[in-house]
Amino acid sequence: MASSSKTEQKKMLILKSSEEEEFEIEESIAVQSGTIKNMVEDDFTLIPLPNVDTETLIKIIKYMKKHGEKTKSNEKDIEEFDKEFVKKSFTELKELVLAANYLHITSLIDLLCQAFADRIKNKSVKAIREIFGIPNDFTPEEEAEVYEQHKWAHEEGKEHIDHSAY
Amino acid sequence: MNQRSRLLPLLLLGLQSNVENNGGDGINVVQQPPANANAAGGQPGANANAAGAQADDNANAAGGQPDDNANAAGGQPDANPNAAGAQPDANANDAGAQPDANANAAGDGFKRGGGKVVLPLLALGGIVRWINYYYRRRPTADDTKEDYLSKLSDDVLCSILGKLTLREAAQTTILSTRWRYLFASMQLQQQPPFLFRCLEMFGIDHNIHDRCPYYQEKDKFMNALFQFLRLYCDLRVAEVKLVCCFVREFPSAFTHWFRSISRVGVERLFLSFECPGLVPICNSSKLLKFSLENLSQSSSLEHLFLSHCVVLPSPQVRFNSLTTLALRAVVLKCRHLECILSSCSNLEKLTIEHSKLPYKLRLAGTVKQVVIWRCDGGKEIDLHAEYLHTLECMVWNNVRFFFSFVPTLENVTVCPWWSNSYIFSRGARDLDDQVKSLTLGAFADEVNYSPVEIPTEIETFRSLRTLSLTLISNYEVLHLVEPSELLDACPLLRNFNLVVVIKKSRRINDVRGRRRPHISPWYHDKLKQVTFGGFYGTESEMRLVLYVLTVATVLEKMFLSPGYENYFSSAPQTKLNLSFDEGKRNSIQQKLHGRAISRKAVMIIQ
Repeated sequence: MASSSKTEQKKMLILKSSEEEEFEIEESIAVQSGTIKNMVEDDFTLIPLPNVDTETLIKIIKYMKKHGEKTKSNEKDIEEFDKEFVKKSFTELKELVLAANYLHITSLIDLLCQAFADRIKNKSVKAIREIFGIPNDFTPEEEAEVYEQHKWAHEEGKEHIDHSAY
Repeated sequence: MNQRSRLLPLLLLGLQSNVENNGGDGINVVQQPPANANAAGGQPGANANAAGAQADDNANAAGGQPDDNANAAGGQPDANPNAAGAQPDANANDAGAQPDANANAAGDGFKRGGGKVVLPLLALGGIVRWINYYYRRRPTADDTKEDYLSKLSDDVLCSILGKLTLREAAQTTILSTRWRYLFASMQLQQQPPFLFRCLEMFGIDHNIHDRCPYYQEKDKFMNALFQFLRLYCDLRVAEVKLVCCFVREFPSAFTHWFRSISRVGVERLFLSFECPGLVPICNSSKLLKFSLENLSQSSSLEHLFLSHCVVLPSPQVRFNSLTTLALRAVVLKCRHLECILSSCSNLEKLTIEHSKLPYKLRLAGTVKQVVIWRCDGGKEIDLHAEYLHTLECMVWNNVRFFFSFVPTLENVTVCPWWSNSYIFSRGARDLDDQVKSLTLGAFADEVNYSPVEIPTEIETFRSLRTLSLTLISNYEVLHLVEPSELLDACPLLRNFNLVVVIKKSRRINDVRGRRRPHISPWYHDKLKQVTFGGFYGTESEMRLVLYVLTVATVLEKMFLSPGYENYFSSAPQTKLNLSFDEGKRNSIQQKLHGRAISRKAVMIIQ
């Protein structure tokens, strides 16, 4: 990223992860994050992000850089990138969505939510519970009541539900 | 391993000739076995025919579908945009058609290869399933079983739920108490507006039908309506649109439906009681009487649109969240509108179009913007609204305006149908000094072939910043506005937009104007921009332009163009693209060159 004498002076920001590692990034790209944008308007150049660890921050910077160059020609390219981007483990996705939420990057939040939704789709309730480890805190009576309330959802169209937890 | 997966696509492609699915999937299998083995094996129900090399699974998938889709309002709003089974028949048909196609494809495969094909098929089926099983395990192999999703915030989880189909989201209610609560508070994001149209239901092609004929079809329509209610009860639906011409045949059912629609938490409700909705109303006595009491429990309704009915208010009803009310082709009886307005404590915009107004109309309340367009019957309109800032009014008869209390009224658009002297003399007095933008449409007196009448005595508009005048006539306008009087009357005027619309013919040599131009001793020191649409370079038009040039000392821009946009016409007849030819443009430019008194003036001739 050599800057020649012809290019304008691009304002750079420094993002600091929770582990005190610093990353330089152009302001025009960083303001895709609402949180960062607000801080820039308050004249910050070193932006500490105590809620975001280094690994996640690296991924987020990669995402923002790719989406910062959005033009009409590389839309397909960006789509491909997005598809690859969400092929991560649940832990990574969880950290990413928490960070994206904190940083207010709406397009990334949307992308990650869709990724989660895709993983929940077509899984049986039991499978979801196992995969995500959600404890069942209903009493048997409550559970029956909840089941009745949306019986139509639990009973119909079961053929395509995947009961395996894998 | 790789060789087996290479066989897959070849056989897939061979057998899929009849099936409409993507041969592309087959090719991709080679490159990315995990992902597409999933597609091939895992979800037969989701797609029409996913890689139908598995004859058994195909039959299953096909078997699965008719149930899914015949179940009206089938919980896959994304698969079927007009959800809530507005077309239960159509769906049953589609789903019905597909199993045949599948059976045929598989059947053809059998017939062609006979037994030779079946065994490898089954073997492949087994292989694909195994691949599917093996690769599915990978994503979670390295994850511990922490409760991930619950660590996320509520709104992130709601976004995730919003991307699922309704059925899947409803299933999550049984996960835990938190998830039950989340489902109740989420809103389906990819939710289309729910549209119930009696016309579409029958597949009737012609646009005009007096009655929807078939009774069983009507029954199904009602069924779909109630199914929708049942499914979306306690959720929030963004928009519901009902266009139905047989509401009067099921009075109690529809009353019940309207009352229950509030439980669906609808925000935008569109009700039309005639299909198609033609305007203007041909026979107002046949219109359905719709009482607003039916919607009395809608606490989340923000935009209400009623069309083709007689609106009956109800005194006990309170619409506290309603911000927009639009009435189209309705009949308003005396004092009904006042009653409606008083029951809305937050109304911001009121639109009444193509409707029949009562003799006296009083607009009061919190409303900020009022549009009364192409209505008739109103003779007196009294405005008593504290927050009103925009008024647009086009009524087909003589209207007297009473501006009794409109302290914030700034933008007025009127099209007085008969004579223009009213708006200029009495109007100015009534409007006090506050109107900042005035848009007038003036029609020429066509009976007498006399041109547009602008009276010589014009009151002063003390605050007017923008004046837009549209003069509409069938024939040549011989005498345009008298510019000096106009500019005198509007000392603070900044923008002046004039549009001359000649509908039928222009005479090439126009007769000199009747009145001699009145030379004003004053300069106008505020006018900055003038646009003239429908400009043809006739003598009277040139005179006007020259006058403005010589009088406006701070003029910055003057724009002359033969094209125009007519705000007052019902047809979108914008003629913005007209322009002068070179010769004409040059001649106009020559005549006007150097005549501007202002140094900064820029003349643009299109």
